[in-house]
Amino acid sequence: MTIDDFNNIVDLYADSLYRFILKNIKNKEKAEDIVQESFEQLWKNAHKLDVSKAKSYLFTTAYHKLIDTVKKDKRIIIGDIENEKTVTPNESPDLQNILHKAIDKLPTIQKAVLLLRDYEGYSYKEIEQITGLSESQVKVYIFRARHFLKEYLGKIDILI
Amino acid sequence: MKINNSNIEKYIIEYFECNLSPEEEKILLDTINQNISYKELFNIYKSTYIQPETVIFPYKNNLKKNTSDFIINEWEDICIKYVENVINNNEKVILLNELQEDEVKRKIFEIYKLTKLKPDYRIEFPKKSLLKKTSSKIYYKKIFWYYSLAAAVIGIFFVLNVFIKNSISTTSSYLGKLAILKNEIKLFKQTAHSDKKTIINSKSHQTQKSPKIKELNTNYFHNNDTLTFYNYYAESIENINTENETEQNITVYKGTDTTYNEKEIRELLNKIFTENQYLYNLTFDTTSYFVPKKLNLWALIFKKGTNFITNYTDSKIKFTQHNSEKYNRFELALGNISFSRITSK
Repeated sequence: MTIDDFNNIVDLYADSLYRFILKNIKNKEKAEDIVQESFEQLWKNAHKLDVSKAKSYLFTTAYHKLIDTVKKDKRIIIGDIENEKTVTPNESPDLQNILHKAIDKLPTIQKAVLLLRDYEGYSYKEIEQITGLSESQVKVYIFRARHFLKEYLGKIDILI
Repeated sequence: MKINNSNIEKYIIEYFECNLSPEEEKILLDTINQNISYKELFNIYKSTYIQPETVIFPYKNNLKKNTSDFIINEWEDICIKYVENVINNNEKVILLNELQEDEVKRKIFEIYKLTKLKPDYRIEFPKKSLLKKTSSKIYYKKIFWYYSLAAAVIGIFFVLNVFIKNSISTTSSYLGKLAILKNEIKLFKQTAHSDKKTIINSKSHQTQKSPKIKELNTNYFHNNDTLTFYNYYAESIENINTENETEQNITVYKGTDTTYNEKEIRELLNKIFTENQYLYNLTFDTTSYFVPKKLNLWALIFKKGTNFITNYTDSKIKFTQHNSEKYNRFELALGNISFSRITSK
């Protein structure tokens, strides 16, 4: 991997990696740190990494740093759906905002795998490699997350 | 089968134990119905068999675990599979049919479609430029250090080599002991041999390049070396008479071992000094030297001579003079490498 390759990777993936981390932890400074550390780690191993593996390497590194950060930071609270007000899509014109609020209520791992799935379009197999979870676990987490989001967006009797 | 008082109880017990065939049961029940005493006996035996009671534990539901977190029905499973793009053809058929027929399921499906997240492209990493690398020094960090180490070792070896060879020298009483210069002069000499017509004035000579000095020079001074220039030698400073010399009037003495004639020497000296607006006085003497008598003109000789040779051979050697109150330092430099000697005033 040359300097040009690396700088190109920065252009390609720095934003998406930052979005992924920032959506998981609502802390810009920590998100920036994780992105920087991930790229530095990539650079240290650049001589033995193929360019095609760079994105996966970055997200894998960032994911594990994210989990470590979450474990250390007790301020990150996992939401409890039972205590939250259920909203309907009609309450706000911006469904994405509602959805992102709902995402913040997800447990860390569910949120991470769902963001990898939707933001980056990773397959279950790729998410398995990034997170170290089994493929079936990944699938269950994603199904649970979607079910949770559906419940958050509105109970079916309200919508009807 | 014949039923009488001696075996009626046996058949009643067999009946309740379900050991009789349907035919035997029929015969038994017909016989009992015809005899009141047999019927009473049958009812007594019947009452001896305990019927199970239906007991219900009232808090059974409380014992069950709440699995509602992830119990999804088939329809929801299909909806999620559609959103996840892992739905198969059979499920697609079910999906399409149900969407047309069931309003409630269609609503559920619409909500599941909303759970698909979209990246917020307004979020950009603010320090992207800091991540980028601008120098190969970082990338090849290890290689860089290996080369640095190798360069340092070579440099130390080189410096030690130079200074060991010069370590005997005290404050220099001799100037101009430069092997590079000597070699270049040899080159010049060889050129002069090959073209006896003229050394300096020929333009073709001026543009002709000598062989690279790197192949010939030894890159360091030898102690007590003398500057050889057409076999004119630099004399020790102590022996030089500095009277009657100025910066524009230099006396140059011929050495004792020259094989060149006066004309050739004058042409050479003309090139060196006249073009630099110096006047010189060439004197032939059996003990003469190619030196100015005045001490501070040594530097001029070297400077002009070096510059001439540099121009002629494209050797890039530069001469510099550094003066202080007590010392003069003369330096010959080739690139970043320089050799210098100090002379006391």
